[in-house]
Amino acid sequence: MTDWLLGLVPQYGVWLLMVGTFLSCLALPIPASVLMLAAGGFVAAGDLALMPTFGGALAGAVAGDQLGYLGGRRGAHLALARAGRSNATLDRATALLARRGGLAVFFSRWLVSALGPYVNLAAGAAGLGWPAFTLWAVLGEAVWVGLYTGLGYGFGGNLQAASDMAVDLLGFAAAAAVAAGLGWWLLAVLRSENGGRD
Amino acid sequence: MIQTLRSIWHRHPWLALGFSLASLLALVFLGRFLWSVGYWMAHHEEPLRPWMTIGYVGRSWDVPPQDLAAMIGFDRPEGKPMTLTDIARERGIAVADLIAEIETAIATARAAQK
Repeated sequence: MTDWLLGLVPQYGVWLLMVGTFLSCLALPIPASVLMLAAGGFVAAGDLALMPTFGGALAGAVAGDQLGYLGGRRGAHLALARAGRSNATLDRATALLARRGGLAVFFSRWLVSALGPYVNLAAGAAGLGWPAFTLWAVLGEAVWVGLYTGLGYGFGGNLQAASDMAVDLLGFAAAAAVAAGLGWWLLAVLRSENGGRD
Repeated sequence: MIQTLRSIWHRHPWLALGFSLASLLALVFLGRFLWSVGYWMAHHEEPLRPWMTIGYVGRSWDVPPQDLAAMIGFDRPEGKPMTLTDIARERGIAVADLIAEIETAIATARAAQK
């Protein structure tokens, strides 16, 4: 199956990537990351052009995000109309996502990309503004597409190695982000303790 | 210094533990990444598969694609990348035979490079 799909990449590169990233942003099980790694390898081999490949993958992903966001918005109207808008917890979660949702959108594009489709729905349902959603989604997708096609380009000629490296790089980014957050928290706690003593 | 660290550890054990574990995990991932970059530099040859193109194979095995194409008597059409499956079909041979032919060509080209 994957072999068959990969064989289509050099011929239908741009369109295949566009459809692949679009569908994967709707939570359909498409190996979009493997397709992008392979496409990067074909770009390096001179079989595909860089900009259309990158642009196609990005366009598909952005379109998929928009559809998910619109779906969340529509669905929320229907669900809230039925529930009668009285759930305080739901209201608070909605308000939080609407205020701080940008970062969740950004990181769920590439760092924890399995969450992406659901964050799209949630962001639409929570009423995160369309310009903010679109800005963070496009930035995040650019990182996602750039990371995978870039690794495929740099380490093309060995798909398995490139794919292992992607996992390690994402693992590093996630662990480093958590470490930075906890470190910052620890510093803040220590500083407030010192402040209390002075 | 050690005294300070120990006192932090005593006062905020969970926070300190979380921070240490996350940092350690980040280092492990970074190490694995750097190790695989090193490994890739040494051997990046990927076994030939039907979905690859001559360009992809050439890059993977460090043989200029035009040399490789010439050695197997293949005329690379401009702007129309062909996979090994396509080439084998055009020639009316099995992909496995084409792959064997390319492997021989790679070995010859590498022997000539040395």
